Amino acid sequence: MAYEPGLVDALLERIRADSARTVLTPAVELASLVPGGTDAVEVLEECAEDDIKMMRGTRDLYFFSELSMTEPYARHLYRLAEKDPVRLIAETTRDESKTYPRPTPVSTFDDSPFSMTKAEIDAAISKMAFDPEYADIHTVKASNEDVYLYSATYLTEAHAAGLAEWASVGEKENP
Amino acid sequence: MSVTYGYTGKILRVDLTTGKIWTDDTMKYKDYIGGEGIGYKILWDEVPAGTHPYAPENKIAFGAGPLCGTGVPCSGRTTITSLLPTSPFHGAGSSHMGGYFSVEMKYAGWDMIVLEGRSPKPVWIRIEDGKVKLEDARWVWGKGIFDTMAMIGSQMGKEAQIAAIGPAGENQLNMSVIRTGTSHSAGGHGGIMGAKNVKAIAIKGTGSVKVAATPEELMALDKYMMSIIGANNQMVIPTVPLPWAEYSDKGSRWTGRPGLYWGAANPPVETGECNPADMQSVGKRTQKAVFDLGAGAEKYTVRMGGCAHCPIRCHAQLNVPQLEKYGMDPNVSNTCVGWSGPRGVMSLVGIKEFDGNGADSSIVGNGIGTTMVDDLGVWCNYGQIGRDVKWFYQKGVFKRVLPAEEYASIPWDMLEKGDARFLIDFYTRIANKQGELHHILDGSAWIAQRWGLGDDYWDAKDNKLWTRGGYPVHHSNEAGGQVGALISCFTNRDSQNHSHMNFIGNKLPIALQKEIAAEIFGSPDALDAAMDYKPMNEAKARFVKWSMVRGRLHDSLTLCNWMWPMAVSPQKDRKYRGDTTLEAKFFSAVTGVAKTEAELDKDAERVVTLLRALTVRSMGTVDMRNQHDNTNEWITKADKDKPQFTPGTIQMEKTDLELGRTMVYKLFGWDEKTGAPTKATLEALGMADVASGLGEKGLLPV
Amino acid sequence: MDTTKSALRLAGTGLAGAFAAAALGCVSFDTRDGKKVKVWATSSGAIVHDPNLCVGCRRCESACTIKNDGKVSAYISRIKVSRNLNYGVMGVTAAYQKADGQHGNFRIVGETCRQCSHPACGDACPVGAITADKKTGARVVDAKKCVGCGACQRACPWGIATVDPETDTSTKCTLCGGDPNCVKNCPTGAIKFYPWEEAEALLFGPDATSGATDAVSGATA
Repeated sequence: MAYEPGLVDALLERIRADSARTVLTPAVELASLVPGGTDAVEVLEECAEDDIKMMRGTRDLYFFSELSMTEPYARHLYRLAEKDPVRLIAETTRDESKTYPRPTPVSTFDDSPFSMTKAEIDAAISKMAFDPEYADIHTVKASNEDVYLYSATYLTEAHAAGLAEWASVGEKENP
Repeated sequence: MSVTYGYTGKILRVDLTTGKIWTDDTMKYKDYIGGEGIGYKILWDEVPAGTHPYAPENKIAFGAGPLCGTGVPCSGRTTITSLLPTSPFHGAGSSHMGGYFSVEMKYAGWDMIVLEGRSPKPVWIRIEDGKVKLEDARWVWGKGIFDTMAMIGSQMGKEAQIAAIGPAGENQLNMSVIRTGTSHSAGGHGGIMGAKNVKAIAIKGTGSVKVAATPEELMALDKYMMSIIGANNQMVIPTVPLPWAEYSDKGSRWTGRPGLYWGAANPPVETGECNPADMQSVGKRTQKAVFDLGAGAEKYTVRMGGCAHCPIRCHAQLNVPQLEKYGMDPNVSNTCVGWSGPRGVMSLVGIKEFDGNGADSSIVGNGIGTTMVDDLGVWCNYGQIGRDVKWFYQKGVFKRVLPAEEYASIPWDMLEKGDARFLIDFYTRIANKQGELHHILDGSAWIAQRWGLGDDYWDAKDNKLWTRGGYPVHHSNEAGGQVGALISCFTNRDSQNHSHMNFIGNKLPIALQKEIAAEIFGSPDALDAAMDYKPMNEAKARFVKWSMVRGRLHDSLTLCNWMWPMAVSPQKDRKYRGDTTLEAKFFSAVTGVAKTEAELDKDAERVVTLLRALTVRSMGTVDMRNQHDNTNEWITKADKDKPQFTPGTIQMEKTDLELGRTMVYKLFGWDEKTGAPTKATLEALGMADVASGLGEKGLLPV
Repeated sequence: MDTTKSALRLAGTGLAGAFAAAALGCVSFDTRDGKKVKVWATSSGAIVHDPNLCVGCRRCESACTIKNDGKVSAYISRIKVSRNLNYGVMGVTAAYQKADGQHGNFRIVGETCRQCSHPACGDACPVGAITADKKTGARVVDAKKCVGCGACQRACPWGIATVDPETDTSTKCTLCGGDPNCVKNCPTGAIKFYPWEEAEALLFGPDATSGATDAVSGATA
């Protein structure tokens, strides 16, 4: 389908500009850039260039440009946009337990780009303990009291404890 | 003399006994590359077995390699080679410092400075290009290193680069340093300068290092290198998620990020995005103050410092006004163990709030420790001094061995309360050779004898002592499983090897690391996930050999082994691959002698094997496996409750480690039974002279 | 020295022909009262170093000399960082702990060629070996003409022009033909090329931020 000249470019430009200032572009914000009766998402699905990526959330669809943001970074922003701190913490933890593998220091979440308050983090972690969906998420403490989360799907308790101790104490003793 | 590229072609020789000064030809040693390699060759040729490190017959070499002074990234280091006073058999070893000393030495026209003999009176050595003179040092003898440098600098000119010892070195204490610049210390050889009556070497150079390649070629290589380089220790991902990054790790030394500053700069400097594509932020990506000293150090950070021609600035330079309360310069700088070693003496309870310093007590305490140690010239033996103080205090060793009066005079209450002013008292005593306490600077091997320390001292896991040779772990099993463990087995001091850590510790996901390991070492199993170690295998042995070879290569070229080799990169587009041929590329470009990666590694293998031969010769035995390479018991026994090769333990297994030794011996062509270099291997490496030297003493394996 | 005013004074003497010619370099002529006068084209700009951002790696010096000399050196680098690195421009004093430099407050003052409107180096050269580059206006040494007498080195109030002891030829900042290699290779962006008016303000103005303003007293050969 042929669209009005400039329409696709306007959408791409908007997404790229948003990504350049490190924010996602929710689909809802693109609606104003297209004439009535046209669906911005359809336009993009058909005509977007390679750098434009889409993520489907429960609240909205989100776009970003890989020219200024990596996919993993966009995923963090996506989880923030979805406004479900329990899921955000659990899925970030699972990702790290699987990928690196490593347990995730709880202090990760009060830092950029999450910037959650201590109360938000504590509340999320206690909710997780009672929700079977997050039964794989456990905590482990290093000897300096740093608390870590890990997913038992990917890490054993002994391994997570060893890694937590190494990251919080061992690595600092052996710089 | 014909033009030599990379090399200046000249070695400065000084006999302090007679005052004779002469020039030697570097190129006759070229098979040993430079720096450390040539230093060992001179020890082999000229210093007989059984020489005491403090005897006039011992020699000490300040070495640079062909890449030093050429602007190649991270090429500012100086390798010092001599016998090691801390070693129970006075084995050979190297100590290293960064800064600007070796670069100035090259510009003055010298690849190396070799000192021998003993001056009848304290001297410092003035080097202005080709002009070399021994100067009276009585007026600076006894001074701390900071004032010594300023006083000599006032005579030489402000641009002089100086290497000097403090009272600890003058007093011929085994654990003393040679320091250059404001914060660059080479540990272990300070006492040798003291024994030679040399307070300092000061250099000004108006010359140059010639490069064989065209300027365009060298600059293109530099530009490429700048795209491969990571942060300190070649860590290639940032501490927090950033838009340009796919990965992050809180423990990374790539600390630079938006919102993090050099807070005491005027105006404050934001480290910023530190996108690897931006070559002009490479110097900001390592904010080392917050890494070494915690988030509280940000506001004290003036800038990052470091070495000549290194874009990675790993020395935190702080202004801590509280230090003036203790009569100290508020400006203090160091990196890594330069902070943690000196403050380690407080490890009984750590540094607590003291003297009204509140939440910043730890930073003030670190400043006190580093200032004391850097001025007095004390070496921490890679942090051993702190573990020793804790053990000796807790186990009643001090109480047992110190005279009652001396014991009572030491402010132990400060140690118990975590009051870092204890460090002022402690370091003043030991550096000035006061009382029995100062023997703590003899080094573990010697105090174990003097103070009657038994197996419990050597075998305690927390003491981290690697061998009865008296040196501790340095990225050994705790950081690299068998790879780290084996690397630690072949030296006469802490292994100071980062080749493996710059790979293992790069913080990339294990799957990626394993892919890269497979490309370099032939199997992904060269590398285990941290804290999940698997049994020994051939690929790990290749990783060990590569790490040892590159360590010696870097200390010979001279490149920084705390950054090199470049096995990985921060480049997503390169799938995080680095380029392990870069040393050979730079060597070929600079010297005009084309060498492949394998050829250059072969040269460095010669250096590894020469150190091995020196060790065999000084120990007077070929039985390296049982007399030298063996480790303390804790390494294989400490984690009783955790079976070996299960996740979560760093414990090694005895037969597995012996298998590892055998594999490494084999790769180096050393005798599989004893671990000593064979005649055939030595001859194949072009070291027939070394083979016959060992043969004459009956030190070739049969 | 107020360089702008003196330039205007010359222009005001009605030497329009000479001034136009100077746009392509520099010309010498004799005035009616028999004095020798040189008129210089203004440089396109100059390099300015930021002492707050500099980390003392000296990559600028290696970049400068490899590009301009085909070898690497600190002494003849046209940007001068090494000599001030330890103790600042003023050199060692009893109060070194409070002064500039790595042994003091860590401040690192790099000195750069100011491409002066009336370059003392060029005016001092007895053989006319220093002229304004036609493309960049940088005051450059013609190695073929230079006799290595050191007049420029003695004349430069900022201690920039330096005779290379290995070649007996003077070296000074060439602006690398318009793409200064020191600027490109600084890992913290502490060195920048500024167009002339901005450079002049930064280097000579009352609020000059560059350490180069300290340089007069500390200029060394």
